[in-house]
Amino acid sequence: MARLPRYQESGLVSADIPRMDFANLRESAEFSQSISNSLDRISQFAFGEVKKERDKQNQLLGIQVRAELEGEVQKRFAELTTRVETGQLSSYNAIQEEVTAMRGLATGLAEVSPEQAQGLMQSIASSGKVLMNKSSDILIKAYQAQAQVGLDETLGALAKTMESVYEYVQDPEERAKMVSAARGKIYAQATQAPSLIPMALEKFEKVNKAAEQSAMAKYFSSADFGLNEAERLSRLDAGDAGKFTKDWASKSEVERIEIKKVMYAKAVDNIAARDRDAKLKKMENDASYVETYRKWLQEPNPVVKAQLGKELVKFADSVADIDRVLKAPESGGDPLLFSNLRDDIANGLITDYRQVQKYVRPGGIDTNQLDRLQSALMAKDGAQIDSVRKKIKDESGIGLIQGTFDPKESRFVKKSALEERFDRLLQQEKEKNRLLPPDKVMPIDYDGLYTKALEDYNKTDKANQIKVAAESNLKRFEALAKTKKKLEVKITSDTSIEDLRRLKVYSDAELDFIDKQIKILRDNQTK
Amino acid sequence: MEVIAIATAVIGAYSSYESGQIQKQQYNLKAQQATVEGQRKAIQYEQRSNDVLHRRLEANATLIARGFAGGVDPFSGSPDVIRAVNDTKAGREFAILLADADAAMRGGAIQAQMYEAAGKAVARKATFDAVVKLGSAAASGMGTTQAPAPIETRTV
Repeated sequence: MARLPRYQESGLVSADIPRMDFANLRESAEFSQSISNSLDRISQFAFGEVKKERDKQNQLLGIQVRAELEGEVQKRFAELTTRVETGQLSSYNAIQEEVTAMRGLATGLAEVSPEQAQGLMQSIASSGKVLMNKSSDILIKAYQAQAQVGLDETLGALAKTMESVYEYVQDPEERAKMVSAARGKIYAQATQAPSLIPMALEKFEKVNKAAEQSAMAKYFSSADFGLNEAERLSRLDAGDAGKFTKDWASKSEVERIEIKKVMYAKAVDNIAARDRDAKLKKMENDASYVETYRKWLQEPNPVVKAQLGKELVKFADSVADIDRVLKAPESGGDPLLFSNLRDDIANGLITDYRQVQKYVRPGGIDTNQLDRLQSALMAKDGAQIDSVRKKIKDESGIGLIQGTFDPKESRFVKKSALEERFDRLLQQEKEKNRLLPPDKVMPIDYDGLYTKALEDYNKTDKANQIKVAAESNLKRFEALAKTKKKLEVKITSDTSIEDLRRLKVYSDAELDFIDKQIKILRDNQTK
Repeated sequence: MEVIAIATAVIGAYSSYESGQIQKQQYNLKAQQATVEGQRKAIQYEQRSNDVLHRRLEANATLIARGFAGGVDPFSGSPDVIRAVNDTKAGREFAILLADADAAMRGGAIQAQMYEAAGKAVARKATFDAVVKLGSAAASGMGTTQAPAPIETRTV
């Protein structure tokens, strides 16, 4: 059978997927790369700028830090200078170490700004140099001062030695050797600070001369050389200077006068010293006397009292009265005399203990009576003072104090002021009497003193003056007010005299006068 | 010197920009090309698909003619089966060719879009480069031509 025609397949398969050119991705990638490159460039540029900026900032920071460090450095140098000047820092090495330590500040700065660090280093070095120079000056001066003190000490010690040499070594040659040795010692010591040598030698010569003059003057002032001033001077004028005759002969007239001056000065000193000693002794005696006498007066035990009395006798010059009192009997005194004396005390005629003391004698009053009179004197004195105090209280307006006591209140202030004045005047009066002989003692006028005190107070007390002025002004104002009222009143025939009286501005005489005038007016009207 | 450097940088920036624009245009052209190419390929596939249909028609017509000539019903029995087979085979190839045509069209369009995107990317890149160059020139100009800020120095 013939084959039927059929469709012949061409063997098609699906076409390949077209190959794509991924240009967008490539370009995007390139763009990214470009961005990346640009960013790199920008970054590099930016970093460059940052570096520049950082450098600039570092420069500024460096300047700032250096300024601060300079301040710190100067502060430390100021401290070091103070320590050097006050002697707390005296070692040259220690100062150098301090300066080196300060360079550590510059090391820190070098990390920020080497230029500024270098500047700071130079600054430290230059300040350090100044400090070192200063410290060395101070050290030299201190050393010189120390050497000077040492020299002065040696010279002081030598002055005494030299005086002894002149005093006891008679042979001039021997003495010259000793002086020369001393001079050598000073010279040797002065070589430690050579600038001091001339001054040291000059001082030594002065000390040497003073020692010689002192030794000679001492000898010429002594009893060995002459019994009195006239004899000594005549010997010297005759060229006889005792053991110093050879030396005296070698002295010029000017030197002799100098030695005589020293001699007189010593004599004056001796006299002054003697007077001073005497005065001191007297003061001591007086003090001792007063103390013993006070004890004797207060001692109740008769045995002890007698013992104290014996001690008092030692002060013979001052205690003639005491001696007499001690010898006086303890009893059997004249009762009439005692009574009279007590009346005199009561009447204020006798005011001083010494005035009654003189009546203590055989046939006079006895010591018991003396004691009683002393008590009476003290009581009288106390009573009179009390009396004045009462007056002061009255004057100040102080009665019985009620409520709180305020010392600043005017009346208490016045009381204190018056008491102070009165006490001062009384003290002066007693002091005056104490210096007078017993028979010339004046009785104290207590009332008179009070009056004086009051006058003084009124005169001088400022507050009081103001008060007085105020009172005076017040009175004047009151008077003026009255006058004003008077001027305001119109007096007619109808005026009642009783109304005018109620105004309290008219005196009785004025009222009488006005009354008469009113009556006249009324009479005239009726007529 | 700094002025010359800046001018060069500005010119460079402009060149970058111009170059980007030209490349973009190139890509745009490529895109159009790709589209056209895609369309051409699609037409080729469609022509081939028409050939397939033509050949199926020839085979079936011959089959029908032979059936009628041989006294056999061409629409039943074996001729009908053969014709169904012919249709199936031709249909399969037709479908493949249509899919290929479609793929060619789509591929061209996609390639065109990619070129357009690439053109845009190139333009962006060029603009960016230009901006960067201008920025660098401006920055370096400021950095080099501006007077430095005064700095106080202390001599100690």
